[in-house]
Amino acid sequence: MAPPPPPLWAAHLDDSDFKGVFGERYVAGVALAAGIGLALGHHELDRDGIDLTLTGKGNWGPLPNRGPKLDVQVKCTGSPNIRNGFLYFDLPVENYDALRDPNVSTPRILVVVCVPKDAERCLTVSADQLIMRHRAFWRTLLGEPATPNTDKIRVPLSTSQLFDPAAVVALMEAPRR
Amino acid sequence: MTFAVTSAELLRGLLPLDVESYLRARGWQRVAVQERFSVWANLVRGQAAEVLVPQSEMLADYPRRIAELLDELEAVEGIPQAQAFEDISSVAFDVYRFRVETAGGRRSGSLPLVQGADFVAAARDMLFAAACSTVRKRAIFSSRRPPPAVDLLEQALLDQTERGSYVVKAKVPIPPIPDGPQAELFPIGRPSVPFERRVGLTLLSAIDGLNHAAREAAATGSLEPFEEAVSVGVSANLCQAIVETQTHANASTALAVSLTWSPTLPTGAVEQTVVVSTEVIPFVARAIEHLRARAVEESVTITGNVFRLQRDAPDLGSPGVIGIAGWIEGFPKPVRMRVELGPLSYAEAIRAHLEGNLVRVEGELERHGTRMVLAQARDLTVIEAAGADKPLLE
Repeated sequence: MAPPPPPLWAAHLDDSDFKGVFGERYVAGVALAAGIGLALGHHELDRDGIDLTLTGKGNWGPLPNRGPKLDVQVKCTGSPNIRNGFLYFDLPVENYDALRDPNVSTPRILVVVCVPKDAERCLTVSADQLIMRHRAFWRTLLGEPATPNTDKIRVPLSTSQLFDPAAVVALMEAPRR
Repeated sequence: MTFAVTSAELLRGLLPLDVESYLRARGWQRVAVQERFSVWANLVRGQAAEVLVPQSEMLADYPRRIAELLDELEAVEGIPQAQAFEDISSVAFDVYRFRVETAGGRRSGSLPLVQGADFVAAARDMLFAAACSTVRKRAIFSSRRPPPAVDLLEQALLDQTERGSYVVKAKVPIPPIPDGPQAELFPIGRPSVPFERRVGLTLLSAIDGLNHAAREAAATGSLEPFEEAVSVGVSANLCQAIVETQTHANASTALAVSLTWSPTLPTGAVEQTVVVSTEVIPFVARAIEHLRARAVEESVTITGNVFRLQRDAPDLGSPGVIGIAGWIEGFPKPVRMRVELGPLSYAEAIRAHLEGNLVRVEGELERHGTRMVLAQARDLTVIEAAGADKPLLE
């Protein structure tokens, strides 16, 4: 039997690029599904390490929570390393240092999107539904210690911290400095 | 979205105070201050809008927050990001634009290198002439330049040139006017308009005055209107600089000078422009020599001995004229000059002459042909001859 044709995107993106774009769209989709006014910011700033900014629009409560913001670093993996209630992800050290930096005005989180190994299965569209696979987990690295590693550092994300609309709302409602 | 600034380094260069000054000038109000950011709100076209301003440019996410602020200003107020970026960069400055039409018209945006270099120098000289005239009105400023004018020139910045004709852009920092409790720290009588702002006002009034003088000169055939225009800031130096902007220009080129006032010190008008048309230039060129002939230097102080006494009326209450031979600080050679004095000073000069003492007197140095005159003499003091630093002259 002839092998299936390659996916349409394969003519334009390699696997890494696809996962990168898909991961950001996944996070954006979950944030919008939170059902509250959210603006998605995407600035291509040099060496910033942030992929998306969620900004609360409308009335989110009294100051300091008016117009809350959340910076998001998105990573994607087709081979999630999940053991004992944690997803272990190898994060580049420069991303780790950016996310743990306390010298910021806006909270930052890491979101790791777990996708099928076979990229074709990331998204399924039918007449009555759209499915994005599989799930994502989040954590903050604020205040984590420096690492002697020069390339990557293995970061554990609890599988109890599922990145879903409820988590988005809770993160946006958390008091800011 | 129009052109967006993506360089973190450039965005970090927009300082929080400048951003807040810009927002305030555009009617935004600070509604909250937190440890690391402030929140600003405005009602634009009936819609409530908010932006966040980080309190320190050293925050790691500062460039991102400023990029978002520029985004919001564009979305809410329709201000292109490049323009907002430039306006915030210049918020604490009065911005001067010296513009000539280029040979290729508006599409060219270029000048021959030699003309361009001369044009930048002429712009500098116009600013400096205005600064000197702001300190004190003079027909010409030659060797001795007022320190405040020198200081201002050293603070002025040459900014990026702009396309659309050829524009030399310079910026002069404007100190903010303190209010509230800070204002009480300043002495009574401090001018409400800082010197740096008055220089821009002088430049505009001088060019207006120069245009008027040229029209009068054309109508009357006399260059005296340019002497009268000295009172509004015209000087031979300014005239020279303006003429030099036309040195390589084609016949249809006019000079336009625009000033965009810093919003940190509002004037009512955001920008003002004056134009020097080509018809004026020949009269301005002739005015240079006319004003030089009436040269009045900066205040000088001469120390020397009185070698001549002259008074038309014999009574002690009459003024007189003396001749002093002595030294002026900064002049390489001794000088002799004529000085008109009031009755009391003239009496002191007589005493000094009889007792063989020196006198020191301050005034405005004028050259009348080959003769030097000290006008508006004041503060004459008698100095014991034993304390003189220079040899006496007869």
